[in-house]
Amino acid sequence: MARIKDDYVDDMLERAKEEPGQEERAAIYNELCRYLNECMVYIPLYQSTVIRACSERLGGLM
Amino acid sequence: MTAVLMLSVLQGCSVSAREENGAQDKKQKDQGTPQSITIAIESDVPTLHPFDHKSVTAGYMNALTYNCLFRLNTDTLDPEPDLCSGYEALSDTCWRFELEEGVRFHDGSLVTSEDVVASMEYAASFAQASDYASFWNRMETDGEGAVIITPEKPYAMILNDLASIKIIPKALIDSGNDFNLNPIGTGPYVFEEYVLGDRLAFTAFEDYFDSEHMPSIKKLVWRIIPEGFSRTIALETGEIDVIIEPDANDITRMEQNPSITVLEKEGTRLNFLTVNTEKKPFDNLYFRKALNAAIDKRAVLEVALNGRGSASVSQLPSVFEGCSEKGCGEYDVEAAREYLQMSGYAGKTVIFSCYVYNDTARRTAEVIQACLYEIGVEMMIEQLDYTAYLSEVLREIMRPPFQAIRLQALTGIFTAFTIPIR
Repeated sequence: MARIKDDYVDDMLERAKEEPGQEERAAIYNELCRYLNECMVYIPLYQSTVIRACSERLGGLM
Repeated sequence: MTAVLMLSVLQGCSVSAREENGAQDKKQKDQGTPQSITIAIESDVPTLHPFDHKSVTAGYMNALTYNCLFRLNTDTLDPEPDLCSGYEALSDTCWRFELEEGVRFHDGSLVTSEDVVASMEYAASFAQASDYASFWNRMETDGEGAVIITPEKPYAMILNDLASIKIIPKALIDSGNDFNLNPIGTGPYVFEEYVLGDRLAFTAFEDYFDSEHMPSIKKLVWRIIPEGFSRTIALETGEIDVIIEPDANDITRMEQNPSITVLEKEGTRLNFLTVNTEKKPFDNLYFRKALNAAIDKRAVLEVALNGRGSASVSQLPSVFEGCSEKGCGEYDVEAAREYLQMSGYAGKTVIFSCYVYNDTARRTAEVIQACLYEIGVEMMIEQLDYTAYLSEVLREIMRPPFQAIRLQALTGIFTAFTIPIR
């Protein structure tokens, strides 16, 4: 989305895709995330919660 | 994920009817489940096609009409078999997937391995699906009831990606069926009607293969109600039964209403301001850091969502494995001014436009606008409806060259876009 072109980012994403271990993959993403934070490829704002509202007619739904 | 959650809700629903809803609902009450419910969404649905979009609302509809070989668990997001009855890794790069037997499409035809191969090849032909539908090097049928998929390299995300590729009839692909107008899949609901800008209707698929997830509600109507307060009133008056995206400003009011239940849970949605890093001044790292430091994200959260959520200081949602806040920086206006100085833009006129398509994004943009004004950067705000955004903004941003800045949620809730910088 930010139109970033970066060989290091591409390489890290490829490494993560090929890494079967969950912990090892998380470590790759952690390194990548810190790099992207430094690059500030976009400006993070907030994390919203998932919200749904329903009528009492659907009482068992939630 | 939101589409997955909605589908599980509809399938798992057991319901108590409200007395004033008349004979039909009395019958429903006796049966414990309503025959029909109406759900409000804020944005029109740009397409019913399985692959030619990245729209959240289109994803809701896709979840009703299609299945994939795998689906994501609604609690853990782990992939679990859907149209697949079993699978094994034959080697580091070769996987065999068995199909559920006797599964039928909405047109009555049986699902075979040829449909799976054709669907995956069809998905790969769409740019919007390229991030999840282009991982294999070779693919073949193994009789009618299995497929063998061979990625070029070991591929850890294969099951996740297979949870995005909807299985559709090969015969319809070959005949050039328009899946936007005629979305035939194996899903729990059959498409019935679409009235542009107003509503969509679906009926339960009686031959749905998954007995554990049979749709208990016979008819779903989706009403498109763009204005947040109008959705709230419609729920309060019984015109609708569910709001998918209630306006943050109305949530407290709804929570105080004993006739309404509000569900809130942590999600994966990260909302952000996206900049085109190829274009001036956004190609300048210090300018981007100046924007980040200048924006009071807690204020944005308060105004946009009534404080429901958390300010973000990372490029990934905090629930993602590997997320780090290191290096992102906090709200600091003095630091923002220093970054602006380092960027070379301090003292120069920088103006850009920001397009938004819903009220939440507009409120977000208004706070950002005020924050940036403090450091001498002027951001204008223009609001589009969702369809106009998708047709003009998103398509524009997908092809180079473009010049834009966007307010964007990872799951596509809101987006803004800028045009020229003077």
